[in-house]
Amino acid sequence: MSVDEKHEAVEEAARIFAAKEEWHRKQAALPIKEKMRIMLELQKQDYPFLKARGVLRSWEKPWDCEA
Amino acid sequence: MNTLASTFQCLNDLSAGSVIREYAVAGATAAMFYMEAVRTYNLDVFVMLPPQTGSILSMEPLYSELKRSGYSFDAEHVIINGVPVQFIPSYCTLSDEAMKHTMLLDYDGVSVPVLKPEYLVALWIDAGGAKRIQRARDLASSESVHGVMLDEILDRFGLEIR
Repeated sequence: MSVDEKHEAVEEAARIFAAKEEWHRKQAALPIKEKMRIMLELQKQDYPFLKARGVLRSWEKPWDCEA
Repeated sequence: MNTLASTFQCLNDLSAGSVIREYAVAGATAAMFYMEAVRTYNLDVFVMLPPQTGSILSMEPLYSELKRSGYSFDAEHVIINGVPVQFIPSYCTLSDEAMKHTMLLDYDGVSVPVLKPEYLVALWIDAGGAKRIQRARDLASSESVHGVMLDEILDRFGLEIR
C-alpha cells in the first residue's frame, strides 16, 4: 500500500467510525418510549434463540406489555 | 394490554403506601433514559424500606402487599402488568446516596424516579462483572453523564473505570 493509499484508508476509517458514533448518538437521543419499544422488540427477537439453547430462565421471555 | 407506564404507575402507588418509603428505577431500564436501547429482561427497582423492628431486613411486608394486590411471582421477580420487577433493597452507602439524588423523569405521562447516570455508572463498577463494566463504560461516554460529577463520586467511593 502506497503512502497516499494508506492516508486515504485512514481517512475512510475515521469517516466510518465518526458515522457510527453519530448513529449511536442519535439512538441515545430517541424518546424514551421509542427506546423501550426497541428493547421490547429485541426481547422478541432473542426469544427463539434463547429458547433453542434450552437455558431459558422462567422469567427470561418477552415482557407481556407494550411500550 | 399492559403498558410500561402502568407498571411505573403501580410502583408510584406502592411508594405512596406504607410498605416502601421510596423507590428508584435502576439497572439497564434506568440507563435507557440516558443512553441507547439495550437488551434487558427485568426491571430493577431499588427500594428504601420503612424502619423495621427486627435485626434482619425483611421484604415480606412488600411481597405480602403485592400478593394481596394480585401480582404473581416468578423466581425472584414480581410480575407487575407483564413486567418482571426485581425489588432490591438499598444495600450500601453508595446506593443510599444514589437514591437521595434520583431524577424525576416522565414516561408517557407518569413521573418516574430514576437513578442519575453518574450513580448508575458507579453502581455498575462497584458491582463488577464484565457486562456491567461494559455498560458503565458505554454510559460514562454518553453525553448524559457529567464527567466532573462522575469523577467525584468514583473518587469518594474508591472506584475507577478500568
